[in-house]
Amino acid sequence: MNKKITFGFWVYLMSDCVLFAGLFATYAALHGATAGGPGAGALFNLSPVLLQTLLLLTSSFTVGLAMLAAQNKNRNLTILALVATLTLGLGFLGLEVNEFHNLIAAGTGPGSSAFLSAFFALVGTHGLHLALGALWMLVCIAHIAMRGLHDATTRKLRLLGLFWHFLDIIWICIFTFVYLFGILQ
Amino acid sequence: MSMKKYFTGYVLSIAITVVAFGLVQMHLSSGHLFPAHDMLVPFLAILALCQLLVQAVFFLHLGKETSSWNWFVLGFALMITTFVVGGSFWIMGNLQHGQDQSPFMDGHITAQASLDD
Repeated sequence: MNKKITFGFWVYLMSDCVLFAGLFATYAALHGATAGGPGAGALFNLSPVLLQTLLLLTSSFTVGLAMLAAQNKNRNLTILALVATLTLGLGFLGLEVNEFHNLIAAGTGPGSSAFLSAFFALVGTHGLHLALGALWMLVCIAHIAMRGLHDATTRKLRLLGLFWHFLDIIWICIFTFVYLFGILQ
Repeated sequence: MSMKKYFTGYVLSIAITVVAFGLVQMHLSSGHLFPAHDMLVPFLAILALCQLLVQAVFFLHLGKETSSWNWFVLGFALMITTFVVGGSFWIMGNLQHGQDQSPFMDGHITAQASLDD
């Protein structure tokens, strides 16, 4: 039963991977279509993006710690690691919202060029996944705090961990192919 | 799953990120001279690939214990990804090429010229 559920979730993650492939392909095709406006090199600011990457990588590590603690039936440590993960995730989202806000305030919102539409669609979809993941994590923490660690809560935590690692992997691709390559143009 | 594995993965992934970021900063601060653009871009792509492998092995725990159906679905997703992303690049490259060469325009002119004769 456990194996089947994990496999089903794995199939979902892989179909999500195909969704992101479409968004990456769209971005790759449109990244030069700036409609006379500023391109990636002029718009991106790498320092907050590096901070975002470090936050997300660290959160991927702490969610791993939470799964290990759950395996060892250590409830307090599991909750502590999940709260740390959630905090890091929210920090990441805060930086992303700030970046989007700055771009839109400067008149370079998603409506100003095909390049920016593709950029907001790709990075925004990832952010939306992460926001839903954070909500899920909140529910997971409440579950474990109220009901303790038993088979059902541990299994849900494992799926959440998989989801979180997956989002980390997508972000790695965004970091290199959107931000680093963008700044080099 | 072990603490040691997670920690190794974490250190490696941070190291790869910092190296990639450092190289880009070096490139920008040296006035786009070092490392040269043509070398930097493929190197960054290789670093990203290493990062993906580190994440897959140390965090997703892909390995000997992964069941063959999981591998199958992963392989299928990667195949579709390759088709979609690679195919887009291919088509965009052809369009670019077509704009430079304008084969349709040439054909049109030739047809027009033969009509005039």
